[in-house]
Amino acid sequence: MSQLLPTDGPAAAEIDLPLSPEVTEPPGAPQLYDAGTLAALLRVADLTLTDEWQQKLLATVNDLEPALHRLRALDLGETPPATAFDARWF
Amino acid sequence: MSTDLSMNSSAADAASHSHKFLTIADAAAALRDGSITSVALTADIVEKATALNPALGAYVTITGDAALAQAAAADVAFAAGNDFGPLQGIPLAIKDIIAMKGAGTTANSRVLDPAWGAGTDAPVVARLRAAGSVFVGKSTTSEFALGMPDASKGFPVPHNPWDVERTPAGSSSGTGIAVAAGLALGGLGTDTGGSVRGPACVNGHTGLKVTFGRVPKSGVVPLAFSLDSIGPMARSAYDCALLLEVMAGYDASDPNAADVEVPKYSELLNGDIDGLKIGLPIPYFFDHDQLEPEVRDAVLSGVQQLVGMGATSKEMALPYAAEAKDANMLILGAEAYAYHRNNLVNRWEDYGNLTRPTLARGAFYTAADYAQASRFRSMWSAEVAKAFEHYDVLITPSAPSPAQLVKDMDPSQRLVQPSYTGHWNLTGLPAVAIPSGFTASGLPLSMQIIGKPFAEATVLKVADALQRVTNWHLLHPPVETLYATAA
Repeated sequence: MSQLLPTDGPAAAEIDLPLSPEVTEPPGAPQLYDAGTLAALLRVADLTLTDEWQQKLLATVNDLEPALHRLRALDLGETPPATAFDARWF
Repeated sequence: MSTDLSMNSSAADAASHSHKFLTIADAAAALRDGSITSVALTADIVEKATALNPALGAYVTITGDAALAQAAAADVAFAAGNDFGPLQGIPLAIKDIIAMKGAGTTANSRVLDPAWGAGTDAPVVARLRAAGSVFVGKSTTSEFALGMPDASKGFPVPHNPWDVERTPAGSSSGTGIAVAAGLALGGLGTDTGGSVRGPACVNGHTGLKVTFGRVPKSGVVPLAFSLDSIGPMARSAYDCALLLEVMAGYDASDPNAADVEVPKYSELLNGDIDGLKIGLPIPYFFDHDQLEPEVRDAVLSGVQQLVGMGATSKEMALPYAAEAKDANMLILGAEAYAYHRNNLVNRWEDYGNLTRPTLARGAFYTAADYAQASRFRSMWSAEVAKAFEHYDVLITPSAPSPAQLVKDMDPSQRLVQPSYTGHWNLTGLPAVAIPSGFTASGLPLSMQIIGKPFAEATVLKVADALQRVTNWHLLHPPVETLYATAA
C-alpha cells in the first residue's frame, strides 16, 4: 500500500498498516442465473412477468453474482447473525 | 392549499430578486435582530421553489399557504417575546416518505395508499413543528427511497442544480436540491445505504446519517427496517447540529429508538480538534481503481487541514470493505423485497420502470444469504469496533466520483461499483458528508467523517472545524440561469 499523504512537515501521516485481506472472487464460481433459473425463481416468487421483463431482469441479476459469491465464500465460524445495530458492539 | 407545480408565471419576477443562500444560523440571527421576518423569508423561498421546480424537481408538493401561516405564527411569537429556539421561523423541506400534517405522502409512487400517514406528523416532524419550523413542502424522493426517477409516473424528476444533466443522487434528492439551490434552509432525508449523504455529496452541502435509533423513524415509509435512519441535511455542519438537537431522542413509537441522552450539539462545536485521532482506511476507500483522483485528493487535502489544526492521521485498513458493501446491499434488498412483495405480485405495472428490477432482485437471494449477510454484519461491526479503539473518527471519500451524467447511469450499477456509505448503515454508525472542494469542471466534491455510536457531536465537530477554515459549503449553484429554463 502506497502512502498517500506527504511524509514531511506537520501534516505528515503516520503509517501503521495491517493490510486488508485481498478481495477476490472465488475461482471457478458457477454462474447462478440463466433464463431457466430466473423463470423458476420468478414462479417461486409468484411474479408473472412478460418475456421482455424477464430479459430485463436477467440482465441485472447477473450483477448480483460477484457479491453473492464473495459473501457465501466467507467462513464465519460460530458468528451469530445481527438483526440490527447493537451499541454493545462498540 | 398546495401550489400547482406547473405554475411558473412568477419566474420573471423571482429572477429579479436578490437570492440569498442563508445558513440556518445566519437566518436565526437575522430573525432575532429584526433584519428579516419569517414571512418575508418564507415568501421568497416559496416563490423561488415554485419558479424553479419545473427545472429542478425538488418538491412533490409545495405547501405555500401552510408555510406562510407557520411563518406568520413564528413572527407573532418573536414579537411576543416567545423564542422556541434557532429553528423558529426557519423554512425546511420534508422528504416525501415522512408523514406531515396537511400534505399527503406519496413516496413518489403510485403504489403507496394515498391515505398513508394522512393527518399525522411523524414524531420527528412534530418535534420540528413544535420548535417553530416552517415546512415549505414535501421534497422529491426516489420511489420508496430506492428506485431511480421515472417521468412516466407523473412525479417531478429531480435534477442536480450544478448541472441539470447530472444526477442529484438519491434517495433524498429533493431535500438535497432544495438546500443547495436555496429552496429551503435545511430539511429531512432518510438514509439506508447513503440516501442522505449521496445527495449532500453531489449537490454540495452537508448531510448527516445518524446512529441507528438516534432519531425515531416511525411515521416514515420503511425501506429496510434494520438499516433505516432519518438525518438532517443543511448547508453547514453547524446547521445540522441545530436540526439534530431538535430531531433526536427516544420515542416509544419506534421499537428501534434509542433511549440515549441528546447533547446540545451546537454548543459542542467550538473548532477545537487538538489531539483528534483520524484513521484513513486506505484499501478500497482510497485505492480503488474506480475512485477518481480529484475525489481522493480533495479528501486528503481536507485531512491535511485537520492535521494542521492539531489532529493526527494514520493510514490503516478495514478488512472486508467490499463484502461490507455487498452485505448492506443484500440486507437492504431482502428487507425491501419483504415489504413490497405482495404489491410487486399484484401491482407490478404501478411501480416505476427502474424501481421494479431493483426491488425484484430481492426475490433471488436465499434465506441463507440473508442470514450469512447478517452474520457478516456481526463480524464486520466487530472489526470496525476494533479500529475505533485507536481512532476517534474515520475519514473516507463520500463517493468514488462526482455527480454522474444521468444518461450514463445504469440501474444496476450500484451493484458493481464501489460505494463508501452503506458500510456505516451496516454498523449503525454516524457519518457526515461535507463538501471538500470542486472538480476542475465545477462539480462539488465530498468527504465523509465516521464516528463511534452516538458520537454525532464528534463527527459534526470535525466537520464544523473544517468548515470554519473553508467555504465550500457556502458556495451555491448558479440557479439564476435556471429561471430562463423554468420560464
